[in-house]
Amino acid sequence: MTENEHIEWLSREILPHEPDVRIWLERRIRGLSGIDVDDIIQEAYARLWAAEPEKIKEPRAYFFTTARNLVSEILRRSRIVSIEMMADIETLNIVGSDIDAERRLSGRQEVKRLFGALADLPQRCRQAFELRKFEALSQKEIASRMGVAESTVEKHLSKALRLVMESMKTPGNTPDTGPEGRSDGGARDNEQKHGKKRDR
Amino acid sequence: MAGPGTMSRSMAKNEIDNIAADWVARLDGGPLGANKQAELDAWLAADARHQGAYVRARAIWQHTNRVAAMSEGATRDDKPAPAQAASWGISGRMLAIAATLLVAVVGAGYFGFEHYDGRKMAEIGEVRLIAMNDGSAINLNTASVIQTRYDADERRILLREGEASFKVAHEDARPFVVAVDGLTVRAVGTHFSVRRLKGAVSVIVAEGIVEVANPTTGEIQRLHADEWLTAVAGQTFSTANLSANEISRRMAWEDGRLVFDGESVREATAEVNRYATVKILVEDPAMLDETLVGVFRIGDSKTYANSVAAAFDARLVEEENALRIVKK
Repeated sequence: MTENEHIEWLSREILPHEPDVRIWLERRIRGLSGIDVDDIIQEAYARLWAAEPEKIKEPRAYFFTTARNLVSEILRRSRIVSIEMMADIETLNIVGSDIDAERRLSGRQEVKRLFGALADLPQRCRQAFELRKFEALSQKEIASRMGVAESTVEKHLSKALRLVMESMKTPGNTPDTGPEGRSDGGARDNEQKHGKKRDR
Repeated sequence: MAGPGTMSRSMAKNEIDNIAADWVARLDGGPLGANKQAELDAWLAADARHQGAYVRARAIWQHTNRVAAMSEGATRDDKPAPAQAASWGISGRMLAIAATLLVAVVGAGYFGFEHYDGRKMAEIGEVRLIAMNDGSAINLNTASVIQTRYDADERRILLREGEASFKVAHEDARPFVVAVDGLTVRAVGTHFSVRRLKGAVSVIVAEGIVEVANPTTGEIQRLHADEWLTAVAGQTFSTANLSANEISRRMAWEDGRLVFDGESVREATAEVNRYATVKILVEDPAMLDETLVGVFRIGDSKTYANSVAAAFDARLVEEENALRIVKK
């Protein structure tokens, strides 16, 4: 699999499940200041990048398992032992919501989500992004069309992408279909690792 | 920092995501020079989260191409549907119910129990969700008793024992009042919890605004989201701000969880024992001031006791009426 195919695989097979993984994680580690959902999601993507997609038969389950393992590792590294581990991933209703997630990222709703995110952008920034995505102009062409420097176009696109990245964290308008397992997450402090300061 | 339970993150919150987006936009403009490439490689190698955020950003960039292709025929002015209010579920405290405030001045001793009906209780170790017919939901925590009285101009709950949280369905004409130990806690629509302690009352507001009143002294305090009030008999109210994280932690019992984040073994064990008939006794005084972090299922004292024993190199002795944690 080429690098681009791998990215394409992440975009089709992993990204749609991210909101559910986040909900599942938040439910387990909510209230703990030492573990951060964004950190776990980023590390999970790093592992999915190191993995071989051809060998992953069920990407959704793999994503959940990866996230769970990361939390378990944080617990093991921590100074104070605690707590009950996450329930077995098998008990989660993973397959059940698969169809919803697929639909979620393939329909009109996804178009609306994108426009919804773009609506919050400054007008010039949105224009640059639309020219890039909808008119398929290059950054150079956009710069000349808008009469700005290429570096400005790049900044606009980065800003737009940041906003879309943020919007992809939540399930949009679809009702939550996160898997439910009877479990409680165990959690530990990883202050040293991420250099975080606790408020208390 | 914003805690893991904080769902409303600001864009700037995750700097790693922002840097990843910068790189993806940079690469979209054309190939990197050798210096830039080295800079990117170094950044990616520095932290697994960098690599993860970067490939995620690329996947999302790609995703927007696909969405743009799908949007043919969609007008650009498509407005997104209004965001739905979260249901009282997993993200219970994120409700978008506007709370309106009313002044509550009700004479202490006015409520005779005989005026109430519907005595509802949760046994030790039980967390009970009660759906009221006005659409409000009451979560009764362990060893708690309430009585309810709904009439034409008021919905009134008497908290007789323990702790309860309330997710109040909005009704302009019929305020929702919780009476506890001579205080009233009043709101029209909101999410808050009230706990009755020995000689004190604690009120936490997760959403909206409530007003706490002591009709005897005339003291009135308005509380907003993430605020905490304690009322000790014979003293004026004291209030404090809690982080969203701390609110989540303190209301985790609604989900059947107990969350500790740096509490002492003394405090955490007392909390676990609230839910247990078989109590945990920590017999090593030195251990009581140690702190711990963790999430437990309510009622599962044994897992907690085992974890504490393991963490502090102690031994768990199981007896019929107690779980004793003793020095090895």
